[in-house]
Amino acid sequence: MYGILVDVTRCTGCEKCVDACIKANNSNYEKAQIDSVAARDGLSANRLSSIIKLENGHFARKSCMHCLEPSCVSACLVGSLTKTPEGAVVYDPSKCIGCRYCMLACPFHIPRYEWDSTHPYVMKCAMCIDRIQDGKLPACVEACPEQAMIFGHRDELLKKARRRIAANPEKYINHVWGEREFGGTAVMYISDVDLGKLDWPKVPASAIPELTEPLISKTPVIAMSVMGGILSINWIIGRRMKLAAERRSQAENLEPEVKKDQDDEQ
Amino acid sequence: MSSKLRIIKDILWFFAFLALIAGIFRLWYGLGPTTALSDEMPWGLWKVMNMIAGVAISTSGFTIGFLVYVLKMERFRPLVKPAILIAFLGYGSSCLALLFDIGLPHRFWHPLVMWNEHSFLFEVFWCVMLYFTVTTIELSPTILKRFGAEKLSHWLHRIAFGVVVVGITLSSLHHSSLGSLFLVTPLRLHALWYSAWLPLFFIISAMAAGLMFIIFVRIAYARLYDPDPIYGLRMDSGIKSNGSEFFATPQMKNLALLGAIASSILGIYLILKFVDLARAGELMLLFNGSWESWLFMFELFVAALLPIILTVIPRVRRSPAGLGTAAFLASFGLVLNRMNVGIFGYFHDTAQPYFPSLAEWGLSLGVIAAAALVFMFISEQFPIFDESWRRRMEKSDVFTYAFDKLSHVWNTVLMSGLQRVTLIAVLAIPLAWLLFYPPFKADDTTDGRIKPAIGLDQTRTVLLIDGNRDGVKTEFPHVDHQNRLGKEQSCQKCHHIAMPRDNATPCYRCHSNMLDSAEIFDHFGHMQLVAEKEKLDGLHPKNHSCSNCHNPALPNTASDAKACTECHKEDMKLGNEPYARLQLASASPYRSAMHENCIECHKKEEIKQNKPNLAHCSTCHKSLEPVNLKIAKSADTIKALPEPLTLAR
Amino acid sequence: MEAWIDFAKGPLFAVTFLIMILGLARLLIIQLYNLIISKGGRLKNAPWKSILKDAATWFFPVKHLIKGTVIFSAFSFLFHIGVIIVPVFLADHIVLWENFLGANLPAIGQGLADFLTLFTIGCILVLLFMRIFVRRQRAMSKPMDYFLLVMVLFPFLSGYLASHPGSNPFTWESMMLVHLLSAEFLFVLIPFTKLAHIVLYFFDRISGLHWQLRPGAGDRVAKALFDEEARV
Repeated sequence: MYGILVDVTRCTGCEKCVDACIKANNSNYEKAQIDSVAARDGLSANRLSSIIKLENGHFARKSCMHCLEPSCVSACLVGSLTKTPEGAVVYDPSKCIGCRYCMLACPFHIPRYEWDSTHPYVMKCAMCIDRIQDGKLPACVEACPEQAMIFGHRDELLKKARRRIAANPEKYINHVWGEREFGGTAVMYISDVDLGKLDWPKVPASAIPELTEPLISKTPVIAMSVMGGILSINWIIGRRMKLAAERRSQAENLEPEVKKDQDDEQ
Repeated sequence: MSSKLRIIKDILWFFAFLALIAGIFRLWYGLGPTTALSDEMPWGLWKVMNMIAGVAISTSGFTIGFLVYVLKMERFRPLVKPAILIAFLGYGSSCLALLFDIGLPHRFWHPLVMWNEHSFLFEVFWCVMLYFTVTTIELSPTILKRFGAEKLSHWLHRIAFGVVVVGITLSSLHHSSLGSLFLVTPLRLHALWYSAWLPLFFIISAMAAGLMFIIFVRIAYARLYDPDPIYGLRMDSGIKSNGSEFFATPQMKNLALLGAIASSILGIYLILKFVDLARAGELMLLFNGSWESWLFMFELFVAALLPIILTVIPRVRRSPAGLGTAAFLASFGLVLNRMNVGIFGYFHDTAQPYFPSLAEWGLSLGVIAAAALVFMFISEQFPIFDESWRRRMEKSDVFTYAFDKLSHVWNTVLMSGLQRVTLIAVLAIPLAWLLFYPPFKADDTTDGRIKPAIGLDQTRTVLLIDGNRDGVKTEFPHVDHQNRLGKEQSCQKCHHIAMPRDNATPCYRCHSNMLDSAEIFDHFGHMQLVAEKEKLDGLHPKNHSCSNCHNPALPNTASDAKACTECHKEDMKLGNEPYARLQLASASPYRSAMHENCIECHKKEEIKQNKPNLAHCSTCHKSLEPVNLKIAKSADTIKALPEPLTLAR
Repeated sequence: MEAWIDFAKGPLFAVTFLIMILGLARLLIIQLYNLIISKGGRLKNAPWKSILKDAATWFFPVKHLIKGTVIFSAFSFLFHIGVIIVPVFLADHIVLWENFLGANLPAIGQGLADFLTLFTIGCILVLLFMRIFVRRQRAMSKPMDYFLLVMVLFPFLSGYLASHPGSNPFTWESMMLVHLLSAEFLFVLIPFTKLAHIVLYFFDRISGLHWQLRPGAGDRVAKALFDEEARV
């Protein structure tokens, strides 16, 4: 399980990672330039990562966080999005039907859509899964001149982050963003400023699939109980009506029509 | 056909044609140009209003089925067929709109074979699909009987109860799952609407509003088709002239009972809503005065409180107008609720509010209109509303021979409406073109700042641009600028600081002052120079050099950079300009052009008026100090000061 | 003004042209439908020969030129030549066709275009004059006929003035706007008035009287009923 650790204190905002990302994903460079100002956070179908300006001249890279329990993966109805053993959340365009539920489900607003295309797909960072499988670093990590991003096994990165914070406790905020938020993410941040601008929750939130999983796993039970309930209600009512009819035929002096009208009056 | 009915049908046809064109444009141009959807609001009108609200309002198929088949309330039997028809068309139209909404409509079948059982959307897809099949099976005996397939329809009748049970189960699953869809947005959806109880709210409100909707449809249908109060519903107020006695027909009484059932469900819904808010400790959100809180209260008022109040009063409940109003309000409230959960509840999280494009409205309303037309057609041709249909059959023989021969069917259906419908098409389609055609819309978004100067130069080397954003267009020799600034590579010099929806740098960025560089600051050259000069080490020395000129705490624009003179103190002296030394030769053409314009004339006037200093530098420039060199005196001040010039002589 | 011209040149032109095309298509569909429904089986036995002959007679009205309303027929025939050629083949309009339809048509020369335009304007004025002052023409004219003639006059007149700034007492922009709007109004009028004969002409021959009566039968009836000169 790999991950990326972003040290916000080291980022100079040079956008080398963004350029490398555009190149690695074969995106349209000119469209990406336009989108960099058009979108609020600079992300678009042509620009899968961006640099967000924080306060006090700080910068942070924004892209897919590759959650450990990804909301998008649980949301996609055709299983177009999957979490690979390497830790990346990847998208399979051959399955996608374009419902855009993943875009709604992502707590970080990451998946983007090719709105201008007549054959549109969802676009998102795949942590350069091809490069990782070839033994190379993700394009953005490789391009960073400041080594603001480091790539490695998530556990080791977490230890490294703790070590950095411990070595410089007055500089860093004592928090690793992504350690526990939304059930933990593969891309983690350490910083000396608040990262609310990157859509990190103010209070650590649980993984989003945990909100839906308990409910959806009960679907067969609910279906069965609803069906059982209907049948038993129907049986009880049928039996009661039958008994009532028998009783009525014994009495034989009550017109069923009149009875019905009396019911109506209520 | 009454004229009122005909006008209503004409309007419905009109919207249906609008939808046709909107749909074609959607398929031809893609989602981006036709809709107002964006990465921030990936779900819009089509999904929320047509799919989620449309499905919810068609619940009557299962609620009436439950009342009649399971609870054996035979008095509602006449409503079963209309309820099934509503469900069939509601689900059908929702799926049709959804086909236009999803990005790759030809892959709509993918969830059949590609499963992700962890997804609520997957569950919704399967349930909706299966339930649509169920409604088709439930509806088919009515249709098949007319075509003489007695055996098949009899067989279908026999499995009716089983089908109804399956239908109720599927409905209870997917109506709650539609609410569960929004469980994944705990941080994005406004806290007033987000709740762990969303699935419960969705199914309860859908049940109530579904019943209310069929009441509304029944009353509206009676008003349009059966003005006769003896058989259908009483269309007058239901009160005798002396105001003391009710004359509600048995059918009306049944509907009133149904309304009471629906509003009691609404009452449970209303209580649960407040219990939920209290449970989450969010009751105070209701009174914080935000527009969301007002919307929330309005929604509950219209969707629940007002219909409950109306149906509690027996006199209102038993009058068609009163019950109809209550039913309409509840149905409208349900749609509003779904729009709140699906659209308005997200506005606090987005940069700009989403407003559906005209094409989105057109397709949305048009699909609903088409469903209404099909509803009217089926209810006219088949025994859906039993009594009124039978009565119509007795009245005229048009419908009896309509199915004798195929030609006659087309004759009655087409001939009566062909002329009107085609006329509506001729009017609606061009209007739709005008409103929805994406290239027309694209012109609006660029504000028409740039236009090819047709008539001046057909090869479009000359553009008409509103470069300074002052509404005045000037001829702009684009190719000429391109050639001077360095061919294709030079595009970014003007276009890279383009603002959203803007096409290029305003002219004044370069041409603000006649001695300013007529070129965008040469970043790359400066970075290289500074890096060489400072002998910066590290991996990429160029990147360190930003802070040499820019304040790192500010957004790195021209305004927070060092003034040029801070480094170029020597260069700024006359005859020692950086462009002369570095041979950038950028500003010189512009400078000389301006100088020529002024100086040549000044020289002439110098002789004419005998004012020897008129062409002197100091006439226009305050001084020759580098700081002041830029600031030329304005022409007005020169004119106002003739005296010093003559004195100098 | 400039924005209005752009609007009239772009979206409004496309939309009104679409109304014309769809409206005419609608008329054709209804005519065809009626024809098949009413005469379906008998279409094979239609008097094609006399239909074609009659269509040709009206196309090249030699017969009408020789007898009866000579001047009126001649001018209305000449009028149709200009009214078809100028709007379609004028060099400035070719650009419009290219922009909207992608069609590349040959253009007529400026001199010919000017001549034809003036000629058409003249024809319209003559026809208008005759419909007002000649007894027979006045008798068979309805208010709509005057209105349509004037409406056809507008685009020709404004178009000529717009393209000849020397003889134009108004500004180019205002003339251009009048030209565009009046032409577009004409587009809308075509499918809903008798101007629809630009497509219905042929249908009228097929579905008209010629099923029962020989061409020119009306003349004979009139001759028998009234005086020799009368036309129906």
